[in-house]
Amino acid sequence: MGKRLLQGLTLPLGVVLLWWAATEAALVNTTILPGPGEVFLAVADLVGDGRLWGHLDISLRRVIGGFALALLFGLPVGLAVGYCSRVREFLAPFLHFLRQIPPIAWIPVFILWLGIDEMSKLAVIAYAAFFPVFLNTAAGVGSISQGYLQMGRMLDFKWVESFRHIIWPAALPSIVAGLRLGMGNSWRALVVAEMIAASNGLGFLIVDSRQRVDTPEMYAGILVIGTVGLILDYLLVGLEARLLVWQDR
Amino acid sequence: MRWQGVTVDYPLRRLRAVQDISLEVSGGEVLAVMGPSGCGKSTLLKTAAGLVIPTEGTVQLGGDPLSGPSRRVAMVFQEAALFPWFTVERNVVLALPRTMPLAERASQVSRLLDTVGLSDFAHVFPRELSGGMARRAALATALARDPVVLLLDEPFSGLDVTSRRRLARELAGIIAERALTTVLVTHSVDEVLMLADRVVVLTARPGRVRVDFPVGLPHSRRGNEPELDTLRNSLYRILETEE
Repeated sequence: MGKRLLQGLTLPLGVVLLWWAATEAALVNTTILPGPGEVFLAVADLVGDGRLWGHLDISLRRVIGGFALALLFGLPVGLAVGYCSRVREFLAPFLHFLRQIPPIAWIPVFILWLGIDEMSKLAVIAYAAFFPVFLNTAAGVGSISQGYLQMGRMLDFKWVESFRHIIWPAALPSIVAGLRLGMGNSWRALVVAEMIAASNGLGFLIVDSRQRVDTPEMYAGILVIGTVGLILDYLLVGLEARLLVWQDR
Repeated sequence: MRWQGVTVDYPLRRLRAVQDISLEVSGGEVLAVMGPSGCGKSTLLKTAAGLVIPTEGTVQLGGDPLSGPSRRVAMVFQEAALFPWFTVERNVVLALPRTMPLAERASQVSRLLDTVGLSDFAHVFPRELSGGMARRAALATALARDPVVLLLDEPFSGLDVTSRRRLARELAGIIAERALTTVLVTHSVDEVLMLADRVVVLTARPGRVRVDFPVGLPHSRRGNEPELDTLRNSLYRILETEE
């Protein structure tokens, strides 16, 4: 564990070191790229005056809300498409068409339909997370070994039992992989949505600090976004480990 | 268990798996089915399980035609014989009759795991079991249904020689004790000779009965009886000469 952590930290520490050296040696314009010390101080300021928590709070609320919406639609649609070839034939072409359109392209549309407030942001986030959740759920269900389903028939499983004892657990590794990808997508979509149309949140913090030419704070915002995204992913990795104890890793 | 003129076609794959098979296994008899790969052995077994319905002909159990899986028939699959996401104990519990009272289930599970020698592995996931242990766990789930007919699809494949012999001996004991009518699909001549009362060899696809001969020895075999050598030689001769 310690060795892996050290290996993982080597590159980021190296980058910080290079960054520090470049700014110290005045190789870069510090208005455009302030030194790491300044950026870390900006993070400390954001934490100290409580602004960070305000932005983080609203961003997390948005991402959790949008992600929940994506699950609400993505899981059942994925299950239906994976399980039933008729549903697949009916829905898949349209969904694959939609998948080609990036979330950012929908932002003006959602603002027009849902207003500039929270609903349009939730919609963008949900849209961004929907596809990985849906596709991985469908793939997980679609690739269940016939052998398990036959075993279920031999054990006289009713549909609900087949779902509980075979379909859901067999598809779960793929579903969880979809959740991780979906969470990553929604976090990125959130930041984009907040940069385009918001008056708070981490995305707004970046745009706002750029307009105020407070570049240390702008980089601080980027650092926080990366870190929180990483923490969210680690939480899902933890969930994965708990849900899939039966799997070989 | 009786097959009468059974033919199975898979229209999607455009192939005939087995053709015009008529066979009968009497109560308590152990029938081994052998033959080249892809000759329809597993298909034949699945017709007995009620998982594949014959295109022509019928499969009967105790005089009644089978139209789907029956409670009286249990099958140990070659692959996917256990649900990997459940512990050994849970796998066995799921196979127990649902009408069984909860209190009885626990004792039944421990009895079954004891029968297959896996008492200490109740709470283990299948991936943590060795190949031989996984087969025995799958056998416990099959026995949990308290079947009349036991179907075994390649129960020894992928096991080393020692595990195969041990499993064959244990199987022989369990089958004899419960007087199970058994149909066993396998490539393994030695294990067939330790277990089977009768051997049927199928032709290449579409499988038809090519040879049907009795082993004619009591069930309690050690595997080194001189009569078995003669049988082994003739069985190898049959298997090696393609029809």
